[in-house]
Amino acid sequence: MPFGPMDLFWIGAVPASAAALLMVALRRLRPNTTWLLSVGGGLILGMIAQSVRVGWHTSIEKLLHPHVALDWLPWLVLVATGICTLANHTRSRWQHWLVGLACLFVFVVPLRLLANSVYVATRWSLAEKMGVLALWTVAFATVWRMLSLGQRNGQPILRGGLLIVVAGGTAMTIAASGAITLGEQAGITAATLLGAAAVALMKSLQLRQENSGLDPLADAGSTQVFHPLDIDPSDAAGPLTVMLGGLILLAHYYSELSAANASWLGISLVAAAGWLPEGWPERPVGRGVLRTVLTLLPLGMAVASALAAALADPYR
Amino acid sequence: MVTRLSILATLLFAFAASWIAAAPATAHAADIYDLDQSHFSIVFSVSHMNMSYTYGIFRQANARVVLDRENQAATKFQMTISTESIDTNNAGRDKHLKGPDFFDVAQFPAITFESTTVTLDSRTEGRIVYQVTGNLTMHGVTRQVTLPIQLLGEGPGPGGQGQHAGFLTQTELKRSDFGMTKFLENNMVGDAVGITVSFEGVKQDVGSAPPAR
Repeated sequence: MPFGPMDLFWIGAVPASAAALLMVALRRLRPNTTWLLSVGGGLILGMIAQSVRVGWHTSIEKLLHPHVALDWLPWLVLVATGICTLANHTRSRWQHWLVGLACLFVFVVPLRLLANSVYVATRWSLAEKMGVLALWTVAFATVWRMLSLGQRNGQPILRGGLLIVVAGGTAMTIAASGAITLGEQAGITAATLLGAAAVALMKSLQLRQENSGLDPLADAGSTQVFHPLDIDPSDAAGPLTVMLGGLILLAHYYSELSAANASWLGISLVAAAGWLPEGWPERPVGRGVLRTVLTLLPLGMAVASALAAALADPYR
Repeated sequence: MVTRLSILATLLFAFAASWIAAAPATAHAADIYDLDQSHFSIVFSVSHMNMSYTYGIFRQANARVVLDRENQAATKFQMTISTESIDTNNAGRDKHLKGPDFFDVAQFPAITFESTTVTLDSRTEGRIVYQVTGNLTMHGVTRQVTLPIQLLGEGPGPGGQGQHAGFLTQTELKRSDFGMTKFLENNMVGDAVGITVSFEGVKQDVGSAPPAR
C-alpha cells in the first residue's frame, strides 16, 4: 500500500506538532488538563488535517456535515475530552454526575458509530442490536475505567510509551485489514501521543535541571518531585478510549478486522496503560516487564495475523 | 329565457365535447419495462497511477423504465445497484473497495438513480436518445446528473417471449463529488470514473407490475 513522505507529514508530523504546540500553549493550566487538552486537541486537529490533504472544502464539509460514521469521531473525541476536562475541574460532590454522563456517553458512542449501518437498518434483529450495543457500551466503559485507574500503578513513562506502541500497532492491524483511512487515524493517535509526550519529557528534564541548579540536594533527592511533570497517560483516558475503541469498532463492522484481532487490540490497549493488580511482581522492574509482555503479546498476535493475511493477498 | 338556456346548454355541450375529445390523448398507457436480470452490464473504469485503467462491474441491480412515447415528460428511468456486488476480478481489491476507503457498503449498500426530467434529444439523427436528468445517490451523497440514454432497440425477447427494449448510457463522474476521496492525494487512483450501463427491460403487464425496488 502506498505510504510516502507526504503521508508521514500529514499523519505523523501535523498531529505530533499540533499536540506539542498545545502542550506549550496550555502549560499554565493544571498538568493533567494540559496533557488531556493537548492529546484531545491533537487527535481532532490530526483528523481534520487528514482530510485537508484532499482540500479544505472537503475537510470542512466532513466536519460540519458528517455523513459517514468516521466523520463523527472528531465530535465524539471532543465530547470525551470535554467530560474529562470537567472531571478535572469539578468538585468531588459533582463527580457522580460526571460518571453518569460518561456512562451515557459510552452508550452513545457505539450507537452513533453504528446508527447508519446496514446491520442496524436491515441485518440485525432487535435482540442482536441490543446485544451488540450492550457489548460495546460495556467494552468502552471498561477500557475507559481501566485506563483512568492505570494512574495508580505509576510508571507513566512506560505506560505512555506502550500506549504509543499500541496505537502504532493498531494502525498497522487496521490498515492491513483493508481500511487504510481508519489505520491512518490510529497512526494519528500514535503521533499525537508522541508529540505531547516529547514536550512533557523535555519539560520534565528542563525542570529537573533548573531545580538541580537551585538545590544541590535535588540530584540525590526524590525524583517524585518532578516525576514526570504530574502528567500521566490516564489523564487522557476518555479521548483515547473513544478514538482507539471507535476505530477498532469501525474497522470490525465496516472493514475486515476480525473479532479476534479486535479483542487482542482492546486487551493490549488496557494492558499498555490501564490498571493492573498490584502486589505481584513486587519490584517495579518486574511489574514493568509484566506490563510490557501483556501489552506486546496480544498486540503482536493482532499485527502478525493481519499482516500475514494481507501479505498472502495478491492485491496490495 | 329560452335563449339563455340554449346558450348554457351549448356551452355545456362544447365543454363536454372538448373533454371527451381530449380524453384519449391522456388516457394512453405508458409501457413499463423491468430489468432483464440476464442482460445487463454496469461497467466502470478508473485510472491506476496514470498507468492503466482498472475495470469493474456490478453484478446485482434492479431497474425500471416507464416509457411514454407520446408524452416524453412522463418517461422515467430508475435504477438501484447493489454496491456489495462489485467485482474487479480481484477478491482482495473487491474487499478493499467495499470498505470505508471507497464504497463503504456497510453504510451505503446501494447506488440509486431516479430521473426527474426526460427529454427526447432531437440532435441525434436516426437514433432515439433521451437526455435524462435525475438524482444519482452514491456513497450517501446525492447529485443531479444528466445521462444520455439511447434506446438501442425493441422487439420480442429470446424465443419470442415478452417484449424487450434495450438501452445504453455512457458517462463520466468524479468520485470526489460523492465523497470518495481516498488515494486522490497521491493520484494513486484517478478521480474520473468512466461508466457504461447497458441493459434490457422486459415489458410488464400494466397494472400488474410492482415497484422495481
